[in-house]
Amino acid sequence: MMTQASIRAWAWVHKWSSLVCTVFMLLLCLTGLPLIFHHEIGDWLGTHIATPRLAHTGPMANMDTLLATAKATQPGMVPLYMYREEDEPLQWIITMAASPTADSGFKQVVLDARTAQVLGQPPQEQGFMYVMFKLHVDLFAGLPGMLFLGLMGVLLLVAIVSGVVLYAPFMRKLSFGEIRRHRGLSLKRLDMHNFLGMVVLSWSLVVAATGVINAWADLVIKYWQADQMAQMTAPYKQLPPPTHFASLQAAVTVAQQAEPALQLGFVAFPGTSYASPHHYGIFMRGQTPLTKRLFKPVLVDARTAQFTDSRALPWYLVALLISQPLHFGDYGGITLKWLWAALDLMTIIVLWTGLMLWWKKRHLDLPALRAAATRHTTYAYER
Amino acid sequence: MLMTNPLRVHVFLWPGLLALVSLAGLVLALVFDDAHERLAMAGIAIPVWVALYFTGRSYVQRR
Repeated sequence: MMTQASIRAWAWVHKWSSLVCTVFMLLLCLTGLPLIFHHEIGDWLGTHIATPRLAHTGPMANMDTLLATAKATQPGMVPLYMYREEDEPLQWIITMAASPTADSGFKQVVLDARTAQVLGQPPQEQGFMYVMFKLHVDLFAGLPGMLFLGLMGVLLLVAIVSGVVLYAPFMRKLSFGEIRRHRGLSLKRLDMHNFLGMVVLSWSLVVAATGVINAWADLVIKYWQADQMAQMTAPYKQLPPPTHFASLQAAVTVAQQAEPALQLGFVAFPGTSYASPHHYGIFMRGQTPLTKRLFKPVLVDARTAQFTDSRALPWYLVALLISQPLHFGDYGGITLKWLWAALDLMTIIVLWTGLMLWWKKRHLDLPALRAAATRHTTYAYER
Repeated sequence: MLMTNPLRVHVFLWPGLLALVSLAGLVLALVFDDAHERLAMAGIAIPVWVALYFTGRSYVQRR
């Protein structure tokens, strides 16, 4: 049984950890809601590019042809990444920018994987979904914004744990799920807060913890570059960057031969975060629901298309990759998206009722505080 | 013993069971496909149904 002193201490932890992060968590829950349905909203807004229906029986287009088409569409720009969306396996998307290290000014070219025809160039870094995404990820503040939101996520975890500790002493006289609607707004809010908080406990713990991991994504990738990537590309350290690049198709074939049990996930072009200036980073992945989210990098010399090195991802990148679907809720089709949305809405209610409980209690406390302050002032004046 | 003590049932058993089922659902839906995945998603859906049931019941009882 908890003592009054320990209940007060946990209540203090719960109050302040929640208060500091609640406004940001409300923002994250609200901006996360449209992000759950970003594909569906893309269809609705007409920004999603569908693959045309073709009676195509021949081989897929050559990777070099796809790359040449993208370069011709965006002259003067260099390719950064080449990848496929899971729900559009007959498309290749090539992201381009002015330089491999650019952090803005991106262009995307969507290509038909069968015919190498350009299907479209969706607008980048603009529109409603972009604003939602940036607010959700970094508050338009880059890495400091990401780390700040990560810190707010840690506070949410503290608030959840302290809330669980306080559940028993506050709910011991009530049946599970009892909401006292007939005994005033404050009690109704308290019961809703406690009940829904307990109902969404696992989901909110998982989403908050994976959000914190994702907030460290940029730093984790930088560490991987300095650690494993640097080891794999050590022999190339003193060499100048190549001016002539080997065939992309040949590089992909070499990677496929090195990892015959895996399939092509995405390509990172030389000079980007997931490759070195001397290599194509060919990222292979498994085929089961779990392993298709885990990549294995194969570095292929960008000048000669020779195999350089391949090694399994370290634990911290595995943790990052597994945390992403658990945060985004994109691993179970539309059913899971609706469940994610429902749980997100319930979390918004928990946050809002918690905020309202504090706000009302704060106003109730004010007359008492004011009276105490007046007494103190009068006493000091009389002395 | 557990089931006869209302405090343990209402404060520990039901919330604990709910948390475990939904956590298992979240993880298993990531690992499995097809029938197992649907079962896992049912586990994720349980908290939503529980919330709807008790919230709806509190409205009915108020009347």
